[in-house]
Amino acid sequence: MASYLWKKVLLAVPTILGITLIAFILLQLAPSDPALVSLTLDGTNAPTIDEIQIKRHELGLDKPYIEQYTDWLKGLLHGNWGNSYITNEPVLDMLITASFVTVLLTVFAVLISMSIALPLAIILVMSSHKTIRTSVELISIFIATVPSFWLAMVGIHIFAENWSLFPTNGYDSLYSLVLPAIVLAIPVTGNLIRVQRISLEEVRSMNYILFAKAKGLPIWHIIYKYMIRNSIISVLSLLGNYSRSLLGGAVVVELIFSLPGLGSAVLQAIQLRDYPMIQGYIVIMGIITILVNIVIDLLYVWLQPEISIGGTHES
Amino acid sequence: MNHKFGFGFWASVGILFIFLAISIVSCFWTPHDPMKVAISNVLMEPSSEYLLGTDSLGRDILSRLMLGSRISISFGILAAFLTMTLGLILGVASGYFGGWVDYGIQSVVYLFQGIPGYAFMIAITGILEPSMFSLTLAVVITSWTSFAQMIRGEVLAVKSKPYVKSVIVLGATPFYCIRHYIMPTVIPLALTLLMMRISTTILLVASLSFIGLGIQPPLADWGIMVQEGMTYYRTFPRLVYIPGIAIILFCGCLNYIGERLRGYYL
Repeated sequence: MASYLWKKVLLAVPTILGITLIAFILLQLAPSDPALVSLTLDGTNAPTIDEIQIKRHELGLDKPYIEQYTDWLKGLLHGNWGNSYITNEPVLDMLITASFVTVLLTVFAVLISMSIALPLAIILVMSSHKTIRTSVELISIFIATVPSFWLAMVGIHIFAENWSLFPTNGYDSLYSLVLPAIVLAIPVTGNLIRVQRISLEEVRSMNYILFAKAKGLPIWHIIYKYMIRNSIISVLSLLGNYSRSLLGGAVVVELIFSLPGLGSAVLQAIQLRDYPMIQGYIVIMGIITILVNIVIDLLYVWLQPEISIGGTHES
Repeated sequence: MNHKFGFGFWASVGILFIFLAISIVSCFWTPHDPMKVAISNVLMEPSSEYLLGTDSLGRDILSRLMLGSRISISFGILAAFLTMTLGLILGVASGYFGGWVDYGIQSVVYLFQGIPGYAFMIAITGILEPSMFSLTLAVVITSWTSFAQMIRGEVLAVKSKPYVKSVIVLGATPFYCIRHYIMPTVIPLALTLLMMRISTTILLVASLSFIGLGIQPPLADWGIMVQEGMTYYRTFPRLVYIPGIAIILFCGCLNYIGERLRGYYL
């Protein structure tokens, strides 16, 4: 299992390199000149050509591209991700503080969606009402298409303003993450219920379940010990997908709820043309994604040891 | 899925047709000019003249909804179609030829999968100034990988079947084999995936427009309409509810149909 882990980590390195390359190329394609941008940020300066030249030299923009790229890479590895054009703080620190909030939000959202979806799916599987099942299937498909920004606004209007159950925005405590997490979790829950139900039904038709029932084991025992354990696998890959998209897609929700996470940080950076920040954002999102991938793979291996013996692993 | 498509399926198809019809009609006629600002008419209640009321700049909501349908749906179809083309070409190449071609394409896929889609889309549209081009580029770059992977899986499955193997042994050129054997199986799957991709694209574009990085005002798009309605949400919630329901309805029906078709073909 250790070698499996090492292979994954090794594969991560060229991927991250590739991501940095993409981030660098993307920024070179930007229409504005970073030197001009950083000089005119406060809106009052009208820099002369000489000042712009000096700034370009200072930012290292007149070096050949390869050298700029390798310099930036070296800086990345040493923890120097550049300073933000706006606040002049190190980009890495700003990104790490922001990623705490985003990661917490994502974890909450995943927990909430699992805790709603799993019991619902079990109830669905155990009941034999055909109309209930088809209607829940229909509802969950439509729930999965609710746009998050719309849901966020509706959620704020109903729960935070009219009923005052949650704070409307800001990040005062962990509690203020609850409503955003619910909003993020709802589209995910729709799909999760469906996949969970399909997988539970597959398990239920297995022989060992019949045997357990014949032995006289209580139903809760059967559900807990056998059905949940065996159906988690297919759910895991879905959760992996969702963790990745939640991490990136929390942007809009963070904006609406004014949470100081990665999403609002990068939006602000884009609006103010804060290029070092945008570059750092792409790289850190790549790193977080790869970490999430590794965690999911580890969970796979832990839950089903057959996979680690080098069987076909479909990505 | 073992039985024919039921009521839900055809009802969804019907709803989709209604939306498409509205979009096409909006090319020629809308109740009022969707871009015409009339400050004297702001925020009016639904009346016989303005069937859904007016928005904060006095524009007729129904007309903007129709225009938004046209723009959202046509952009969604275009971007999803481009994604499908790219994913199809690379998926078939990767699955059929195998070897170095497969290895190369798979590494590119792995690289692109390492970047979270939404974050990358924001970065692309933010850096390259929001425009039709950057929007299309962002959508295609982030969505083609899942397409290519599924197509590749299907191609591999078909290629291992005995009748395909025998045709190859008999000396069929790759082109012949792909065209007559692989495509008939792969195309239905691709079309099904296309439907779901259209719905995802529309959602993505709507949320990008909401942030301001997608379709730019004064063009209408469901996302922009929600954003414009945000300021007046508390007193005039219908400004937000109406485009939102349009999105949910259209994309939900697309997804439902896509799921049913997928169950039918797989």
